[in-house]
Amino acid sequence: MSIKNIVALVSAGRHPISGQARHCRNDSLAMTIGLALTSDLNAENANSVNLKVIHAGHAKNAALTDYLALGASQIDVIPALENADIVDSLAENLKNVDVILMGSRAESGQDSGLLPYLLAEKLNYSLVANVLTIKQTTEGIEALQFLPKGKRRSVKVTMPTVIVIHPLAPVQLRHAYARQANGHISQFATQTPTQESKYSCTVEWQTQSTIRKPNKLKAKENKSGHARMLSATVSENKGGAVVNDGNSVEKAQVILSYLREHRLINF
Amino acid sequence: MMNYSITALFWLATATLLLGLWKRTKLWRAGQPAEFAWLNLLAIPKRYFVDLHHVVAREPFIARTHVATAGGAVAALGLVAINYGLMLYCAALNWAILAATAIMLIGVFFVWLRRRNAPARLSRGAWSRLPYSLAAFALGLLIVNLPVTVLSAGVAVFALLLLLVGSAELALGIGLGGPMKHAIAGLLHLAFHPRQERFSGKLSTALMTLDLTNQEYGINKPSDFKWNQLLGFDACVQCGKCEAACPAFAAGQPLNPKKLIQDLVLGLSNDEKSGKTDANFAGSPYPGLPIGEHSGSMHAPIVPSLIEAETLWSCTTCRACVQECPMLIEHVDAIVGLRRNLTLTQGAAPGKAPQTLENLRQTATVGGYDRNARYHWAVDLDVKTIQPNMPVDLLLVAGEGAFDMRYQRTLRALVKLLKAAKMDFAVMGALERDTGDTARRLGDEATFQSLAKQNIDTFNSLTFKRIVTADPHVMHSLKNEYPALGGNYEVLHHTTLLAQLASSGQLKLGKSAETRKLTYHDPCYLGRYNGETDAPRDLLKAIGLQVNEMERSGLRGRCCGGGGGAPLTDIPGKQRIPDIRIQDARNIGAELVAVGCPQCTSMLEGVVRNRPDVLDIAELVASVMEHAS
Repeated sequence: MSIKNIVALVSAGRHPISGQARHCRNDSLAMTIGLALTSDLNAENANSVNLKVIHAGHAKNAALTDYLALGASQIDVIPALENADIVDSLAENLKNVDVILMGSRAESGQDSGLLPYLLAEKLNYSLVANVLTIKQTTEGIEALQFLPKGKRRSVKVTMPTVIVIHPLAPVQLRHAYARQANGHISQFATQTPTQESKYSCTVEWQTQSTIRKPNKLKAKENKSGHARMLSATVSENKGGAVVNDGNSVEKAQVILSYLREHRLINF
Repeated sequence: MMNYSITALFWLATATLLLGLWKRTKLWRAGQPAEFAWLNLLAIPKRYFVDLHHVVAREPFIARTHVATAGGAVAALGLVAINYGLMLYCAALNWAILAATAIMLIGVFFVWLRRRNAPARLSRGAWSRLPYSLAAFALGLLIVNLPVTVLSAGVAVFALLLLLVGSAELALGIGLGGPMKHAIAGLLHLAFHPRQERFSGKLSTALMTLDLTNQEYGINKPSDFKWNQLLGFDACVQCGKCEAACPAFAAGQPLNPKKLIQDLVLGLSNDEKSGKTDANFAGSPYPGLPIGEHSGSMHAPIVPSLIEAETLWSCTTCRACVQECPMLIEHVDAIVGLRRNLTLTQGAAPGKAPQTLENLRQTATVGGYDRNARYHWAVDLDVKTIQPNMPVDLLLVAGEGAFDMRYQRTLRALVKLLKAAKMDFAVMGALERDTGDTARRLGDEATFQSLAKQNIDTFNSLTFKRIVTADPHVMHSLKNEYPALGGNYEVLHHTTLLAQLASSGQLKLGKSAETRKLTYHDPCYLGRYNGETDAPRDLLKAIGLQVNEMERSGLRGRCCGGGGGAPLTDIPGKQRIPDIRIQDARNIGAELVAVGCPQCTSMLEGVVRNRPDVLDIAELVASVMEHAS
């Protein structure tokens, strides 16, 4: 089965320190992977594969120009209200798409990270999460999934599919001003449903200052490099002891002597 | 008979020369239009004897050799034009020609002498035949002008043949791109130089502003250069003084300014299919890159087929090559022009550069810091923060160094000195954005212009008389590059201001208790970019410290390796540039290096111990204050 339509969904991000509007890095990775896949497919065979970059929100959002600079020649914006459910309006525009690419979560707004799952459910597409790289095979596409401790898993994906890119995907982002100056952001003509989202939080947000968390007492490790490598890569070898015998006072005494031994308390 | 053949040869050579010049002019004209004035042709003699000779005279041996060779040749050619060209055949003129050719022959002898033990920076190849072809010309002309009534037929034919060979070198040079091309292209380059301000005694170091709205995105192919830049490349004599001065070349990074200019000359060709490579280049290659694998033409992209990107990213923009070039070629403009195209159209800056540019776009700081934190180092110093409607004399712009704990010591010392001198000054606080200097050197003109415009708006909303900064990079941007975008300020380096205050007595200084042997490292952006080499030395003298000069100092100082975003692109070489500079200090036995720039401080302090200590001049001066009180 050949891929014909690829879509990358991009969201508006903001810088954690300056608060300035910017691209969401995770979405940029997804878009760049989509661009690479598109150009690979177009180089292989004559039928033109098209990558659409879609944003649900406001076309005037300053963050969108970053995606133009990062390689999108055009961004289609689906208008969305502040609290409207973008799943419905996105699903409306994502029918007959073979591959939908996106980052794992947005950087602001209702960034629950659920969007890819809701979208896949609504469209009845397959979903692969934590994807690092994708490549086309004769049967479809193959995705390399991120697993903890350096493990990776290769997955055959049935299309149509939603592919969620992991933040550690090995992609070099290239920001070029000329592309930003030549790119277009266009609003979708279709008027989208504006009903309130069933997932959206209509209650007013409350803000409060964070509470200082207690420091975790941690024993200083004097392990060899080999031992540290093992504990980082092999999940079993954690060290420590499990105390099942004795009453509660005796068990507490074990903990107390451990803390004293490692000089975490001095009384 | 003899006279007529010389006349014929003269006019044939002149016609060949003009034909060659016309051919070469067509190539230059493939470049972009540039403003120029025909009247500048009249300024060539002054520019040659003053501006150009000023550079050449740094090496007296070759200066005198060139005076004799070129002076003799020009005089002889002029006389030949009169005597034979106009068919006067006057005996007195023959004597004059004889004298001129004799002088030329002496010059050529010294050219030959030098070529026998040529330094590595000189190109061989076609340049090696020059003493012989010039000697043939001079000798041929000498013989035919000998006051002998009848030459034997054999000698006459021999002399004419010599003259023919020598004239071919002179006449064909411009058309075929031979070594003698430099004579014509060099003189025209003096007239139509892209930086005319250089000849009015002013420094011209600001990069040209790109018109981004007009889709000017730097240099992609040779024809994107302005035509007078292309002409400038043709002026190169391959003397390799740039190569000898280049810190990146010395560090074994893949850059050689001479080769770069010759590669661009190679691009001056309309043959797209001839596949002419750089195999004929007979000088030092880019370290680590073999010769003969690159080729280019007028309308083909330069990177990577003609010049590798890593070559461009090795440059520290220190301008040592420009300072040394006897033909006044502007290497840095070419490199930044090429970088601009890579960054603006492909976003292809390597290493940490993309992260830095993103930080500048998103936080207006190089390191991605909170702008509100820029003046945290001054929190206990009771310094005013400037606001609109709060007029001050002096505005202190700290720059990116303010986030670096090492450089904060320098800034604190500076603030103490300004307070001791009872200056009315304020810092910028959260209003300060990065000047965009690093972005501009990395070719990101868009980010530079956006930051510059925001800074100019900020400055316009404030009331101050002068700006002082401890960062020469900030100084260069504000003083030399902001005017093109509409911001005109009086900007002082802190050493200039402190030297003024010390000499006027406003800042009372004692004598330093420092006993270590001291040297001063000139920051490129203070020395070569702003011409300030005296104030730091005066200031050190004022506190009783004697400066021991390193091998390269003042306007010819060696770079620390920190400019032009080079620490960010971090192109690998054989050694590090700051190690070379510290070795300069070690060679004269210095135990203390005085600096005046946050980049130099961090680059030189990054050299592993044992090395001389590095202190900013402000710190040295402030320690005298503490001593006094």
